[in-house]
Amino acid sequence: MKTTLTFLVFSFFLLNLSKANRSYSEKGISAIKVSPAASLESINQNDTLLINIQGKVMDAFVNGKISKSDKGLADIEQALLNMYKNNNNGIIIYWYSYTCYYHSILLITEKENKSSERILDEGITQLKNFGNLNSEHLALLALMESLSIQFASGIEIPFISKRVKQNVEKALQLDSLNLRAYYVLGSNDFYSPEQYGGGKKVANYFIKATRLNDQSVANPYLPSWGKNSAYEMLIRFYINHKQFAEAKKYYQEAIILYPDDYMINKLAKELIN
Amino acid sequence: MNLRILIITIVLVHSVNVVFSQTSLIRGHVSDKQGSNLFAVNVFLLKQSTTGTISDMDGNFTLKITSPKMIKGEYLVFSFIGYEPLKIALDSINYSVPFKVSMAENTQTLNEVIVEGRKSISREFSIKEMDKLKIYLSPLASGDPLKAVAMLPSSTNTSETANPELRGSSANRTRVFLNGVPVSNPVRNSQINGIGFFSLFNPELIKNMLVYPSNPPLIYGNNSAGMIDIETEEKLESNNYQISVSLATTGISVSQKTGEKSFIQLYGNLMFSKGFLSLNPEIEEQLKNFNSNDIGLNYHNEVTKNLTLNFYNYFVSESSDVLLNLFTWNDNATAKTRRDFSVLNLKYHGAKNYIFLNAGTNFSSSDFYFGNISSVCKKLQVYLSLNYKYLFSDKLYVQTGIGNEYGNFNFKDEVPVFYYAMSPESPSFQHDTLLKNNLPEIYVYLRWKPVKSMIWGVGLRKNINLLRTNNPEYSSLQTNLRYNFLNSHSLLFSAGRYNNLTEPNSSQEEIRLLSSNQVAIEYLFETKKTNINLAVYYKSETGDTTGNRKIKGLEIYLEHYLSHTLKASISNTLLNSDIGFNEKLYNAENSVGYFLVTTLSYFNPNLINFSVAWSTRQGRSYIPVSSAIFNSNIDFYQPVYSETTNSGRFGNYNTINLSINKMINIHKGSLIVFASIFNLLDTKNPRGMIYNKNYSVGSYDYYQKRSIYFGCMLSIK
Repeated sequence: MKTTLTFLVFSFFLLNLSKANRSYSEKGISAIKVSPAASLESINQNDTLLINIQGKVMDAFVNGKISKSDKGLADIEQALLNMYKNNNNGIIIYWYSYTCYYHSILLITEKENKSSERILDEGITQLKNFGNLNSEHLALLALMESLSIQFASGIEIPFISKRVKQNVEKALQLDSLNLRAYYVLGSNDFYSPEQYGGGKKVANYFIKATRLNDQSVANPYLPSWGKNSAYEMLIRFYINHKQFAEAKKYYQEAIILYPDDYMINKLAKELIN
Repeated sequence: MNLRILIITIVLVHSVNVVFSQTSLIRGHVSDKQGSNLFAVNVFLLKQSTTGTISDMDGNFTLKITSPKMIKGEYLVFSFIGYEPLKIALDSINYSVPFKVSMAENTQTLNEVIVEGRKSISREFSIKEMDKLKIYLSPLASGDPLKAVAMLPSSTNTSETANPELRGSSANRTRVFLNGVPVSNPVRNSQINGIGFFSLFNPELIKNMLVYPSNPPLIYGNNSAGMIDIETEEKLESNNYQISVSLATTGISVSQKTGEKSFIQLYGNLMFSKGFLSLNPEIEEQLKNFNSNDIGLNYHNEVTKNLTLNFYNYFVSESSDVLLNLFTWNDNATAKTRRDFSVLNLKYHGAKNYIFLNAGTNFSSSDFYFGNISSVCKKLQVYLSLNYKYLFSDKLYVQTGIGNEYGNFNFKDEVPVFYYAMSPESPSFQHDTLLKNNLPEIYVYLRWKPVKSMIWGVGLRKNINLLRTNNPEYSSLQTNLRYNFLNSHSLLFSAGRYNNLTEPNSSQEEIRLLSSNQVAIEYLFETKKTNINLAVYYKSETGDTTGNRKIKGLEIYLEHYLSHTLKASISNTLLNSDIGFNEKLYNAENSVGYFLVTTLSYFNPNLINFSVAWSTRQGRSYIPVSSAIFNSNIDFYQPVYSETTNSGRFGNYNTINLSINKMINIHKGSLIVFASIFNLLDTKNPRGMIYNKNYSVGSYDYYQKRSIYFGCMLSIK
């Protein structure tokens, strides 16, 4: 269990690293960076901060990893929290919790486990306290709870796993086309031990996620993550189960869509071997 | 894909900020049905979908229509997560003034509201909400829900049973509800010294348990102290089969899906005493024999999208043989009970309406024999309530209902002529009692959440003369106010006047009206790692045969995870309870000053799980015997009690209890091996007085001495 969790965290890190690198170099688009020295003045302007916030969080995460500082993510969290105090908007709290999630991962990679757990808990608490959760909120909550498993005592793990499943099922009841919900569902099944009923529907969930749109209508304020991760884990699942033809099929699809994804590229070597 | 989104994004964002000519500019405002601004709503043309914008924080948007040709047959579309998409014909829009759009939440979101609406209307006012995990993690509860309640700071139980006694009140004032139906005396083997620990509820059946230690909401009636509201599972995650074997029981439990939206849970236990008593010979001195067989069944079916059925049935047959000492007579007491109770729930919901029918039956037959006492009691109880809940909005819920409790209590007793003379040869007489009662009541309960951080509840309950009962008329009224702040902090204020009718039993063959006035203020702080509860309360109770009580209490509870595997807690309850009798005030028997409980739990499934708890308090008060008068006709002494009620006090109570378990993962399941030691140091804690024949020499009757228990459970999914 410990090994898979470590792998999970490491995968998240590499995954995001690859995504962020793509946005810098391949597309040639200069993302709106929130450097560690970003002033609150600039990010307190709602439009500046909330437009393409997902990319900004990624940038802050990568910058934080390179500079070994979490200030960028902490600044975004603080700015979003200030914004939320004045306007109890579900989108603001979504991005606050999302930032906490990456902040937590950054801290895990720096072996700051106590701080990581605290930040993750804060994000989960804020999201739960918001109350009126939509499909995207629930998918994120499930993702965060899934990460929280590594901080849980063993006896709690099956109960948290059950909560993850319940939240993601609710997310799908609310929006059956939410690819992030399918991604979390697949991921939860991927990492659940067999004795707790895990591993049965991994491929189904991930395939479903890869067939859905990032967003129904493009919107820079709303989330669009998950699809490349679903591809990567789907291929990995087929490799683990020695179903190489299937793995190759989805690899070919994925590499066209995400030619520079570090994790997907890494799988090519495993497939050749 | 990402590039495309980014380009569209840039177009959309720019369209918000750029000012266009008046004739081709649409300005508007988008909100939800409650009038709240909607931020980030996609606003775009149906055919020319690249022409679009997004609403700002205040719900405002502007959109430039570049070509007049677009207007004909074109629509403006509004879309946002959780809301029904909206389509408005462009030619119906008056461009000269900003127009307003109101979006409706989609049906699925409303279904979410329905799920919320199915939960208890008063759950925010419970002091402790325990799901299955919390019950399992409760130190020394062994997964028993009512034992978990007994570990809470609000438990002022001085009798070592799982029957809840909360905040200084006696057990006959507090009620346990299973899916809205009262379950009286919810423990097995309650008459047996020391092992009345087992509640009737299998933890695998339980979804949630709400604990209201005082000021319970009036959605349920006939209680005047606290309330425990247990809800059974509504969804079975996976099939589960358990077999357990221990020193005193063997059991089997099956949870099986019977359809996509239905499941059945079946369990049964055989309890026997030989192994337990052989290993614990000191207990055998007092407890000669016990056994019980029980079987339970829970069936859940979501019959239609709107209709849910749940049926629960439980049967238990138990017997015991205990060495008992009453006054000066020491003899074996034998008891036998057979009991069957059922709970049926039907729930129907519409979009904002909920109707639920709760029905329950309880049949019991019990025999008790000791010296010249014999008591045969048959009980039949039927409960029926019809409830209606309406959700005016997500802020205001109202629930109302009508219910009746019917009871038929038939006692056929042989009782001593002289209460202090209980030998088989002592004179006795036949005393038969038949009591019947109906208790119809109506209620209304309102829950209002004016702002996000504040919830207010108020309830009114009244008995009605619908079935020509002879009950005294009464009304109950209560209110709760909860204020949540800084994420994890809450303050609760509650006050109320309550009434309940006692359930007759062999020692009190009458139905009495008990009343209480209560007020409580509580502070709760709960995070994943730390839990702090503070409470101060006052109660004034009337109606008990022993006199009226004034109860004052202060609870302090701190629980903290010292690491991921180590949890510690400490609680202290300062309790002062006085009884007013003949215009004088006396210490109540449970006015023990303080209840101090400290626990330490270690959870490491790879190694071992253990919990240790130390409980200490002052001893109970009692009425000492000052002298005795000899009755030569029957050769027994009549005790003469001290003039001051409860002037005696037993020595301090101290126990250290330990439980250990180890979970071993096996293919598709797990094996749990467990052991527990109750009263590890074998402390002699006095519970009552035992006198010699003429009351000149007294000794103590003790609470349970050290006992060891172990077993294992195999669980397969």
